[in-house]
Amino acid sequence: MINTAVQDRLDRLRTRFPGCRVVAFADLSTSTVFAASTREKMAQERLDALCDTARTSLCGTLAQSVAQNAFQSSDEPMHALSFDAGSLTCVIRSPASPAEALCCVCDPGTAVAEMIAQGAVVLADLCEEA
Amino acid sequence: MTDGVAEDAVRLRDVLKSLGEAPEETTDKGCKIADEGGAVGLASLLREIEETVLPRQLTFTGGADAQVTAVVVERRILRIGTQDGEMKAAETGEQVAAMLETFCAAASAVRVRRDLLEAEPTSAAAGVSLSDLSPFLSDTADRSAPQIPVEIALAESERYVLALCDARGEGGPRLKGKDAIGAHLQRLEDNLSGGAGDPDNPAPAHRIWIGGPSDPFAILLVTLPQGRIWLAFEPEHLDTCIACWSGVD
Repeated sequence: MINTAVQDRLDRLRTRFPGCRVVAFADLSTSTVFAASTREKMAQERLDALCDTARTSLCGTLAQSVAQNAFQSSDEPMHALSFDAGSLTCVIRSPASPAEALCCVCDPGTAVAEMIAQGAVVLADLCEEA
Repeated sequence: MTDGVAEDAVRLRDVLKSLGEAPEETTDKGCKIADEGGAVGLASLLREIEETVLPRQLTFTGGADAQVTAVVVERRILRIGTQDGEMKAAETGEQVAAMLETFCAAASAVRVRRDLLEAEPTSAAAGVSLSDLSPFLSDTADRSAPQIPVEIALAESERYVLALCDARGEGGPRLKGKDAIGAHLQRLEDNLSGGAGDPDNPAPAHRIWIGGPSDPFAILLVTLPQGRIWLAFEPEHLDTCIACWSGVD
């Protein structure tokens, strides 16, 4: 059963950004979506696929190459984004609990920097309560 | 026949052909660039801005009352105004997109007059570019708007990137910016070109990673049919970077 406080936090984050379609709270290590707020009804399979994409973008081969060769770090990147003219997907990782992340899908033009900042606050609260 | 002679022959043929055509209808309101307003008019207007490099005042008229005037330098709108008020500094993409869309919605056809200006003081960061406008144009207009050419996105990116590695075409990657970061980007490209492309995403969109042990920075990977471009930048420029590159494919 989904904790209503968690759901409320995800809903508030999503509705704060008019272009935001999905905010999902996930465990990347097990590819499990704990809870999600979506603008339109979304099948669990699509949420699972979003979680897989998020895991690949933060923990995949290329992300690890970027961490080692560009960030000079053994830690995987903190945030990952992919975008084209029609859509933007943003994955925000928790610094305190690196396996947990928020996955957001937005329309073009969404204020992504602000979304990452606000998402990090929500994520910190969620991880603290978990 | 050498290539140069062949090119001259083509140019001469085009000039002779153009002399035989009816002259473009030009009035005191300039020449017509679109037969209708709306999305078609907006696409022509945006193309006009994109093709303006020298300082010019572009006056777009769209019928009885519809008019918008913009001072454009190096493809950036510095000031903009309508027939109702004085010209104001173009500060945000949202503000300028709303003015252009309002004008095009009221226009029945679009004409432009291009007046060359004396040296227009500007800085690289001043004004509003097409990529700044793109997120704020309506769906209809956005589909009609021209795609942002990669060279323009690259030129705009030079305002904020720490380093870039352009691995398109022959002759190996070209590096710009800070040497140390450029070397990191070159290593990333070498790793990727040694394999079978992006191992995580066979049909990738453009991708960004943010990280680093102490002072985080961001890496953008632009994937194009002709090759990859890597850019490093500070996260404070994230929205600018996405706006700039989301129209490039």
